[in-house]
Amino acid sequence: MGATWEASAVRKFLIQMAVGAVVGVLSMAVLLYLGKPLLPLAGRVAMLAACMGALYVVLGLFVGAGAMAPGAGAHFLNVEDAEELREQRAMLGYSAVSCCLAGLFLLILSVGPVAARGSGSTLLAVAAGACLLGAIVSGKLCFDRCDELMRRICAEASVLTLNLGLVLLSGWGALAHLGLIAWITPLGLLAGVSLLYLLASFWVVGRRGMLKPR
Amino acid sequence: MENRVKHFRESLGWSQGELARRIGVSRQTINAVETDKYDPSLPLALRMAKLFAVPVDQIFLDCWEPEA
Repeated sequence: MGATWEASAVRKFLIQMAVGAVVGVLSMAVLLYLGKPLLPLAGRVAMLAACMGALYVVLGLFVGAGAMAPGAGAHFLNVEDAEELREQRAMLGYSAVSCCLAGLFLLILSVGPVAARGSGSTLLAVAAGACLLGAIVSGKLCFDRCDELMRRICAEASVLTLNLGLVLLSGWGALAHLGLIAWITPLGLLAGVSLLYLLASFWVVGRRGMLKPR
Repeated sequence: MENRVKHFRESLGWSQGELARRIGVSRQTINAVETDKYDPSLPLALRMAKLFAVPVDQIFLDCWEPEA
């Protein structure tokens, strides 16, 4: 029984790794192909923000696909079986939407100004604002459907992000004040916060042993 | 904190999903509690105690003793 479970868990882990790697490589290739004319003009910070945005969109699509098709989702998401995905479909659905909109928000801000060639900044602001508002609303709807464990994880990830952000920004601010480094750009700040929240979430979930294949 | 949730759950013949459904949380939460990865809130602990019909301190084991 134990050996069977272990073999099954290892197989599932390998499938998850393979699917993650293929989707990751494909999405980055698509991003670089589509953004080829725009990204070099937008600069390195915009490139980092675009990659973060694409990562959020891909994560959202992964979770959304798993929630919509639990039978397949049970193979590439870390759940016990398809039934677990069905039980949490609403929460995962809103989480996926929130994640995708947060990613689109970053993508619009990173390549939008170059794509619009300086014109249509009002339209970009409206589109980015709509994505941000949608991400916040769907995030709230997701939070309302979380049970106490998931709420605790969200709270711990938020606190860790805030603390890490305070430390990094304080250090960066001090060095920038002394003229040793340049101050972070607004887009760099957005990309950095998104990266910190993602890392903090994985750290909190991993520390509770919840990344272990089930 | 160590606990005997799995012991009481299995003695009633319930799956993790069944217990989760009865107390209104996800299966993941029950799994995390049983494997000592998460200490539940007081309301959740009280609900478990009611379902298992035992006091909370028989489910959740704390070795702390007050100083004499």
